[in-house]
Amino acid sequence: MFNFNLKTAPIFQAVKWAKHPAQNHTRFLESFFFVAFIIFFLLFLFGFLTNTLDKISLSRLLGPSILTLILTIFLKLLSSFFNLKLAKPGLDFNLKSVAKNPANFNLAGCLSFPSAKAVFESIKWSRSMKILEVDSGSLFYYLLKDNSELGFIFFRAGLDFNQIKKGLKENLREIAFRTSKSLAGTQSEYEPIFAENFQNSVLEALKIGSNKNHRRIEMGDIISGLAKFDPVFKKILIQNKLKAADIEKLTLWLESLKERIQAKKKWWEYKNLIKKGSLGREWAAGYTLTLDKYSIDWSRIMRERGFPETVGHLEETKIVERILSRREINNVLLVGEPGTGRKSIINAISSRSALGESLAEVNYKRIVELDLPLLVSQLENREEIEAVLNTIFQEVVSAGNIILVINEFHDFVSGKERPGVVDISGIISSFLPFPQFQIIAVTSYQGLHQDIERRPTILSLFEKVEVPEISEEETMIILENLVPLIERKYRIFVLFPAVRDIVSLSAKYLPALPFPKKAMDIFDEVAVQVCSLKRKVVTEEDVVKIISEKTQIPIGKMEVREREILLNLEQLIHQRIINQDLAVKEVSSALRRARAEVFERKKPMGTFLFLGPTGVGKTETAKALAEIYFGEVSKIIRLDMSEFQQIKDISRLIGSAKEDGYLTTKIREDPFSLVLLDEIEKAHPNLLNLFLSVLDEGYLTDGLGRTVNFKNTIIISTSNAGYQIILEALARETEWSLVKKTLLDYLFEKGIFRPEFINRFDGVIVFNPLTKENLLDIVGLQLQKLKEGLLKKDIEFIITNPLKEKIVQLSYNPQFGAREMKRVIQDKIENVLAKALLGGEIKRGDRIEINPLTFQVVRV
Amino acid sequence: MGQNILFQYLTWHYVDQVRGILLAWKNFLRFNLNYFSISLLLKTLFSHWRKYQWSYGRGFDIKRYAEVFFSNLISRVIGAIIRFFLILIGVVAEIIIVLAGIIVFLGWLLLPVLLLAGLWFGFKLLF
Repeated sequence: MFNFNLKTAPIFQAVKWAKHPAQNHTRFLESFFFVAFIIFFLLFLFGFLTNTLDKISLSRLLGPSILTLILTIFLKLLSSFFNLKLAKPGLDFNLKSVAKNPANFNLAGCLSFPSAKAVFESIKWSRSMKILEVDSGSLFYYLLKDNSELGFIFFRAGLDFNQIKKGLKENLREIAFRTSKSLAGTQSEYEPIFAENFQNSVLEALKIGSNKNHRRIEMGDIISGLAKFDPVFKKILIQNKLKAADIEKLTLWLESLKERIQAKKKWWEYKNLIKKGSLGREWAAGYTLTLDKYSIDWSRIMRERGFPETVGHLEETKIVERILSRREINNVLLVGEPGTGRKSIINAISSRSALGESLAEVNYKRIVELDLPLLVSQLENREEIEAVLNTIFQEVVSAGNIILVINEFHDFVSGKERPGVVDISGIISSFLPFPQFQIIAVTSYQGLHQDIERRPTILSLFEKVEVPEISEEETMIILENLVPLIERKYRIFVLFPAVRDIVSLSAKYLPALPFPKKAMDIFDEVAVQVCSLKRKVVTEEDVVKIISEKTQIPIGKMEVREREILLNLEQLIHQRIINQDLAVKEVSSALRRARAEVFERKKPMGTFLFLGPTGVGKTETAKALAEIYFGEVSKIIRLDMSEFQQIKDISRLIGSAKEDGYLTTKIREDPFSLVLLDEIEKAHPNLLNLFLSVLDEGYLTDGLGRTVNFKNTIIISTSNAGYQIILEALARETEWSLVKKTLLDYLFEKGIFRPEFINRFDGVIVFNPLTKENLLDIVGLQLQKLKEGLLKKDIEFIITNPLKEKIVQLSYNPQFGAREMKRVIQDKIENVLAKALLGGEIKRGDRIEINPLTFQVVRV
Repeated sequence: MGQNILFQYLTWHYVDQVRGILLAWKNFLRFNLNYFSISLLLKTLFSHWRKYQWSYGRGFDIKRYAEVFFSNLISRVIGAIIRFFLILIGVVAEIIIVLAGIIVFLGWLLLPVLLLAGLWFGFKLLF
């Protein structure tokens, strides 16, 4: 039941008062009386100070001054009372409890004032038009009409706010025309009935509001609800390639902006006052003259920047603070890939410490980054550098209020020296055990494994904190915060779809780089590009263009192309593969199932196990798929698994501190690849376990602890294990559907593969041995390639049936399938043709045949 | 619906807003103590100025001992004098905030009366 009665809700009182004509003019009158007060008072002051007016005239001026001031204050009081009290009546429930059981609450009582006002107006309109059902269309119109701030959502989405309002007005007219006769006769008491789309919109708004921990259903929540259920809004979104989720994200953006402005306005709040800093706090700490010369004071910088909000890594920040508060081992080693926002943790701690929001032991300390490259570049020799470093470290200890930050720490403890880099491991080791000497060292996984782990004494004095990349949602917030800066810098306007696509496309197409850096870099590049083209608006097409250029992948076209490919996959594969109808069909259907993304998928694009004897087209099918799907055969990463039979071979595949991983590096460099694992049964069982997570979750952790994403790969494993079963089955003419079962039973029984491994593939496909007829077709395909080559030299090569039959006769072997054929064609045909071409036996314009008995070139 | 509007106004004026003013007042007092670092300065009143201190070293040499003792004493005295002045300024500012708070607080409580009085006075001057 939809429990919704505006008249009985406490907010109705505010709605009613807002309709009062006096309330409508409060703002104007307030300004008017204030200006009048200023004028009267200035005149009074002038007369009083210059003594040019008599006492009566002065009284006549002072009187109105006081009266206008009183009226200004009175109106200000009234409007404050309205906004702070009437428009926000006390609630004795929260939205979460209402959302759990909406039928038990009057939902109109949960509405914020602007939402309630829009509902009131839409009911009023329906009554005036004699429409029985209050439609979501009227709610949508009145919400937009009276709240110009919602224009932000539409402008950012690239929609014309005024045009939409006009369209909605038009829609209301249509609704009125269509349904105005539904209210029969004249009813003295109009009881509104709410249309289904209205009800659904409000219920959805309630859900959204409760998820956002709102006190009331705000107009942003209603807009988000309408985006899902109002037919006109849905149509607008579809026409403009937008989704309801985009509107929800936009309202979130608008709300966070409003919240920030509101928070800033409350200057009397302690959080705002504390930003002014404090005096004399450093008098108890020593001077750090040398350190100040070679350092960046993040605490000062954050204060100068007005303590900007840092997004993400909240948990890591708290862990770092906890470690810094310890009595022993209070040094932190921040480990993360460059670009994951390691420095934002330093910024967050600097702000929190300066504002006294951190733990007591960290509060009011100075976070200072030692600029080692500057120090090394300014000093001449090693002795001098060591002497200065010694002074700096002593200053840090004696000052007692410094937390030292060393960036790229691994460079300075690696023992290697190069321009800008010096080894400080010796000198720092003697200071690290002091509790007063606190360090946050920043490093990467590679730096940790390659350099720092080689110095266990130093490592033991640090507590490691891993910094993962931030989420897409957090990156979105960072980009939204960047928008005003970018817009001011480049004088452009950034549309929301562009911001959204920067995040989603960089997540998909640049998986090797971490968030937020990759998104921020793309954003900057897109802005520069648009600015250089002298355009004013950044759209999603600009983003697609930049990412396509960066990755060399035709994004956008890809989707259209992929759809065509998927629909015609069987024919496309059969252009290269003879027979294997069942296998091709199975691969195609499995890939279609996987790519249609009926459910959200974390796995690779497709994972297949090809079983069958040698030379039946398993590898060829993989090649065909790579060519069809990724555009070129070179997109195959082929691994001969017989080379990975020992446990030590794993590091060769996934990398270690000493070497790059063959597979992981290639996937990081080019995530859109087909991974072909040939003869998978020969690999070490631990390696198969490693692939379980790839097949299941779509990622692998490499030897350096980095996550490698396989979501954009197709993985094909081939195996000829148990091929005898297939041959026997064929000899006995067993039904084909039984062969697969028998084969799998055999594989499990012999322990070649475990069921959990097999089950993780999207499809296990059994290739059947080739018949002579198939081989004849394959010869035809192979010779056709030769024919095309010769045609370029203006030589016509006629392929005869006897020749094809002879080649099949020479190469046929049920055990090796078509594998021998390539060798026979090379030996008997290609060699002969090459000799004839070089010897001048055949020339341009010739028509030739090859004698199947003698394998001699014959001109015809 | 419809609670008495006058009652609502009185609740807002004399409960909600009074609470708000008291909270803001408390914020200012707390901020002032923090701005002048009064508790820290009191705790470290006699600490060495900027940690300037000298070590007595090993062995006993009366001349050096006296020298170091006086140097350290001077460092502490200088520290104490400067801190004392800042504490003093901080305390004065705190008193000013207390007084300003009282004025604002009473002003708010009496605002309706003041408005009426102002109205009467304004009209009286006018006519």
